[in-house]
Amino acid sequence: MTAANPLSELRPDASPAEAESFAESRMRLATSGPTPPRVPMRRVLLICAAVLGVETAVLLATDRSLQDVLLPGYLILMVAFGLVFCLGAVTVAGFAAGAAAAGLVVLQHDVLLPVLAGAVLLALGCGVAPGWARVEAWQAAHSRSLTAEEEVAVGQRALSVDRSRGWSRGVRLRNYWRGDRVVAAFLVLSFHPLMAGFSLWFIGWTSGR
Amino acid sequence: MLVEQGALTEEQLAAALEQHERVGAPLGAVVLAKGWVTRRELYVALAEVWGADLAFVDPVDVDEELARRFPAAMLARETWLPLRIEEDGDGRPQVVVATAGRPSAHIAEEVVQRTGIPRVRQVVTTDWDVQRALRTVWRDELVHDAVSALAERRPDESASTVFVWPQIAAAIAVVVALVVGAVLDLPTTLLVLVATVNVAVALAVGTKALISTVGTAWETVEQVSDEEVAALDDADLPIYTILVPVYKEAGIVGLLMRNLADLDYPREKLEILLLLEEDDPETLTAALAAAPPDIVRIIVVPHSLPKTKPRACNVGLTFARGEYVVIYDAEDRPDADQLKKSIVAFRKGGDDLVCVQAALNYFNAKENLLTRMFTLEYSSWFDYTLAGLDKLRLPIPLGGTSNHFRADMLRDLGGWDPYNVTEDADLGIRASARGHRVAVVNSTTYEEANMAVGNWIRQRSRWIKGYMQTVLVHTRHPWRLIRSVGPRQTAGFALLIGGTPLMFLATPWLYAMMVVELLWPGVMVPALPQWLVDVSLANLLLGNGVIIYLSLLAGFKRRTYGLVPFALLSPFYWLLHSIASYKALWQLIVNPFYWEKTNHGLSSHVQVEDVPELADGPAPVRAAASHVETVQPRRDVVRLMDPSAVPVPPPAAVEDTPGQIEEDRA
Repeated sequence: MTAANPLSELRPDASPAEAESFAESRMRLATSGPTPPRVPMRRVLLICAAVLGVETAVLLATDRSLQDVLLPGYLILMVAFGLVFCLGAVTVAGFAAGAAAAGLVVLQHDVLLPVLAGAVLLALGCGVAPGWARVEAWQAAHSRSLTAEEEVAVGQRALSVDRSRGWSRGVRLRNYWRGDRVVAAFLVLSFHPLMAGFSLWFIGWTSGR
Repeated sequence: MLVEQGALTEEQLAAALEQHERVGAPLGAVVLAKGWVTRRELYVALAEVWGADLAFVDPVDVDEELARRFPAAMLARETWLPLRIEEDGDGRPQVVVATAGRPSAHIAEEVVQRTGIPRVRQVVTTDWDVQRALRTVWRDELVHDAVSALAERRPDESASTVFVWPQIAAAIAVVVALVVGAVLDLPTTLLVLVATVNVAVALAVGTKALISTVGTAWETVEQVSDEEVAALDDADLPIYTILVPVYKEAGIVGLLMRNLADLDYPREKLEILLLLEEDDPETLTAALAAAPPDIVRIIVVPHSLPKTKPRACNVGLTFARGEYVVIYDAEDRPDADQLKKSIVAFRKGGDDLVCVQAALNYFNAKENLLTRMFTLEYSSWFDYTLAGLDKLRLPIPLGGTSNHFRADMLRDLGGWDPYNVTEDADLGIRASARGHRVAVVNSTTYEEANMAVGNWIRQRSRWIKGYMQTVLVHTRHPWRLIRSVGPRQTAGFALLIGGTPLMFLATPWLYAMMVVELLWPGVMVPALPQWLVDVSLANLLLGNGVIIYLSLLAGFKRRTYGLVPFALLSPFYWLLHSIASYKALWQLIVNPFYWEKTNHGLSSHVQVEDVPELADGPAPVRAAASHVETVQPRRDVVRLMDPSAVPVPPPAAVEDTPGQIEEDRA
């Protein structure tokens, strides 16, 4: 039997052996002391502000229009926070990236599809990013209630854990993958631009009637 | 002495002494918790050690006229009561009191002061006898205190008066102005009305979005770490009281026993008060049939109106002996380390911290669509909104359960308002208004999500009605509120607590405007300017967008990604809120104190037949796996799983009396 993926959900029809393996994996995750990735958000914000400041100053100095100034600004914010979201698993960064993407769509209507394509790529990245797995392991170790099967398995297992086989070294890439995480990440990243696109369409439609 | 009597073996005494050293609980509490002696045996020994007679008190033996001179709250706290006046050997009157603690000069002084009779004879009785007599003889006083104490002491803070005259006058003035305005200039009146509603809705939605976004930014911050919990010494832990109000929930009393048995806290320092209503014999029968361990005390709350949960909690607070008090519902499954985390949070939080709120979430999230939506909503509220309120230092409306209090400060605040049907939210705001602070702690209690629409609407209409009551109470003196909590906090309170019902009430009208505008473009223009129609539509669109987005984020804190797509259905879920809000508004006017009962125990996750017998010991530790190794010392796991660890209460008056040394000798 292959090792259960501790980051996924336990199948409802899992056998007792699978449930036990799952619980063991979860326990190993927990006892190996995972910590969520700590992205220095203050530094990220400062760097973004500095880059935006320089970009704005340069473009304004070259007599560009406000739209020309804002477009790259939004793009920088979208990419920066999108990466933080994807690699650092910081939820609020997804919110910021989505908002920046919405700004892009408002300024340039025809970028909706490319923006959505970018959201798909980032979401796929979230699907395999170790940062997300670490946050989930940390969550699993701190606040998630165990299912009845896990309770039984935990109760029956000895507490000794072979730390030399810690999950961080041995778990293969496919074990990081979570399809539901990809869908959720895509929704968070794409909601703002979709909302902006819909609003623009709706306004155009109602005023054109 | 117990060893001499053969009630305790030498080995048991040695083990009890070791436990006594470890947890710092009186030896009597330890041997009771171990089940090695009966309460009667213990008190017989204590009476002998203290050199006093032992009496088992029958409530009918208490002189009611004498009883009236002593307040029930004081007697409940100090666990003694006056019995009768008799003549001593010289024919002089003396007062007989029964105490569950060591006879003391303090009791004698109190009796002399209240009766003027200088002779006092103190006999020893059990704490249970004291409490039973209190519940019987002081019944009317207990009910009166539970129902009317706040309304009498601080009428301005009680919802017993729904509307005060200035509010009624203001409401009448607004209605008259609208009618007159409509007659004189309908378009302008409509413009003002619709614009005002739009501004209010936009502010309410915006505030919620801002607060929740702040909370999102702090999603991995732990208020209390596992290391801090592990560093706690059992000997330093105070007595903790758990209040569990139950009404017509006979089926889940056994489950409650199992859930609370999982708690990682010394049994000797735990007190569980099961608060049952007098007119609910089925639940009482079920509770007795479940044979709860001695740690659980069943308190039958005398019948009175309004029949609300806060009234029962106030009665429970009177009998609570813990330094800290927490409320759980019968079906709650708190994290095993929640009490310890709360202790750490209180110790770190400063003297003004009156309450620590744990997060609530649902164990039956995937049961149906409604439970999924409910879980998303709760996740957003408890994981992000409350965290945001905490970070921004705004008043926190408490959630229904898992709010941990400093008992003395809670009593000073006047307890819960029995007339407010969201007494928890009201208490959080009242605490802030009185200069106290409420904080959140990173621990979760798992509850049963409401899975039936009718049941959900009943519950939600009560919550919304309670929010309305809370706003009405705390805006009676707006300037006083601003002075006491500050303008930013007042605005946060008004927009979050007041804005929420307003948002629900306004939503159907905004939808109606949208439908009319879509079906008959421009038909509203004679009455409303086009820009306002557009703003209203944009407001509705944006508001729904915000609600959906907050729900999208809600699944991330607990990594329940499977729920996230359901966030797209939030607008429909929020329309249910609108239905509930109109029901709430109607009830606020015609039946303000009516407590819409929520039926619990409907989920397949809480089928009682799955509950193990208490005699089999606590269930396997349900806490996350890490708790087994990193949060709890291993001996705690063993202790929790040990059938002999079925909790038994501490003897009431022993732990806080000087009699401990004598008891140890016993």
